[in-house]
Amino acid sequence: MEFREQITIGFVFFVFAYFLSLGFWQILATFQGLRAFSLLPRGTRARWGYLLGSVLMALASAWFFGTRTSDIFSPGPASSEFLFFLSMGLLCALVTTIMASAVVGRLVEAGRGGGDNPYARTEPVSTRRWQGAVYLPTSNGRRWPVVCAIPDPAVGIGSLHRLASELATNGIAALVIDVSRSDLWRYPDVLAMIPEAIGLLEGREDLDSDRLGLLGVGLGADLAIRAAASDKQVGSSVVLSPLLAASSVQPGLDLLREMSYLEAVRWRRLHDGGELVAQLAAREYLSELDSRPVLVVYGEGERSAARVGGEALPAEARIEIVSGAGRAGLAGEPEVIAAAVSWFQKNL
Amino acid sequence: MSAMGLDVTLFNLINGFATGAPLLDRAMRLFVNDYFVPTTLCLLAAALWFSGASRDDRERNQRAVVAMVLAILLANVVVKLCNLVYFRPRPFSVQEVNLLYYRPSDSSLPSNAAAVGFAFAGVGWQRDRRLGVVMGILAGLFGFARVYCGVHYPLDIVAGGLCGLFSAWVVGKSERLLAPLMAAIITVGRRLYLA
Repeated sequence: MEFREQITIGFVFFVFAYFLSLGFWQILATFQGLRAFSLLPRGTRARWGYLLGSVLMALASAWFFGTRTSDIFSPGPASSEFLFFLSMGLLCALVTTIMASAVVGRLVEAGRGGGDNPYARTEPVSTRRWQGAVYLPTSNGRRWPVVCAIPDPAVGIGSLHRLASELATNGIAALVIDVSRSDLWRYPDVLAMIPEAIGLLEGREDLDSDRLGLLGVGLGADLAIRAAASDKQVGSSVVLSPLLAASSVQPGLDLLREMSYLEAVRWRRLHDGGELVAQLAAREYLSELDSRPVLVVYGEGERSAARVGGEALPAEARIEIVSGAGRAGLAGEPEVIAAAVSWFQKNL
Repeated sequence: MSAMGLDVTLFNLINGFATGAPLLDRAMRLFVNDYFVPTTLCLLAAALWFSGASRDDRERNQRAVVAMVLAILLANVVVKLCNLVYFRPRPFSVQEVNLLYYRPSDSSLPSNAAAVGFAFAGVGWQRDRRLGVVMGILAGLFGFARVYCGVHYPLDIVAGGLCGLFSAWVVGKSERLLAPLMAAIITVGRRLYLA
């Protein structure tokens, strides 16, 4: 067989393998709950994922086996070439899936948005090392209790916009620190971040720093636990998806159940192989919160988190597992926002 | 009757059905080609790579997938070695057949297609009986269709199947020897968030 003819058949098979694989990845993403591979927004019913995957596979098969019979029934690629073209199809479809899934995720997040909240206003604040925003209730005439919030460093300050707005709407001010710069997370310098934020809040007339709460997400939750244990001024805490153990930041497929591929790469890089999690030792510090109340929240789908054990918890702690949620976007879940607002209203 | 004689008789019996039933011919033409069954087996292996209730369970599946690749490589080597010492002409080269496929030019015995199919099935069986049965049925249909369509004698398929199963057995028995290679591949997969 001529080389050119063989390349043509190989290319036709590659196109088939590519579209077949697109469908395969969708079925796999649905079955295994792999968020990073799914072309459908999070929360879409599983049957749509199976349907999309099946349709793609059926169309690819119908095209190839139904219309390319002359290519199929002539000498084609040998076994090694067959494997090459099939692997390339699988790989290219995987790259396409990962990129498209990330774009869909961003579009959905942008669509959700935070929007303007008439009951809250924001003020930018900054110190020598970091920047942030204070969310304040719009009504005047009293000193507001305040929550200092540390987002997951891989996600950024925007992830706490809805929660902070809702706190402000309910009469609790919130300082959200932008911790997305990796140089902020050097141990032990990182331990100074929350005391510095508390110092900034103490200087404000409109805020009542004697009624102070901490809120953290992911690595920010570990930092919040450590800071709350060290500073008796912190009256109450809400921690979302605390990592607690270095094993929580192992690389691997489990991360893709909770975040997009690029987020997983960034998340893993920021967590520096789990060294900082071990240094923060939040699991040990949890028991030092004594009688100060702490709400620990996990998403049901979080597989990589080393969930807190009952033995490590102080008496005033409560654990909530949010069904249908994973680590990503947990702070934006209405159920989580309501629980956090209610917790701080009760305990500050 | 000699084994070869019985083989030719069985071939004539099975191949005699070809061109008689258009629907059966279409089904066999789907199974006989170089794409349908191999692609399905590869996708099953890919699905196995990502499946598993726990990290440990998944790692066992991933070891099985690496073992499948190694078994296929070994099966190919065994088939090539057999071809070096023995050449059997294809049925359509020596007798009148109902040919529903193109005319391959390599040795008929052992069947490379059956060797690959049963290498998959052999490793699949070692890991999970149900997977082994599914892969075995696909490999069996692949082999049967080759006889039906006139490109192999039944004995070629049996010999190819034995090559595949032997390769799977050898790889299974060498698990301890292959453990560092498997661990290295899985570690790379984890670093890429794909294992």
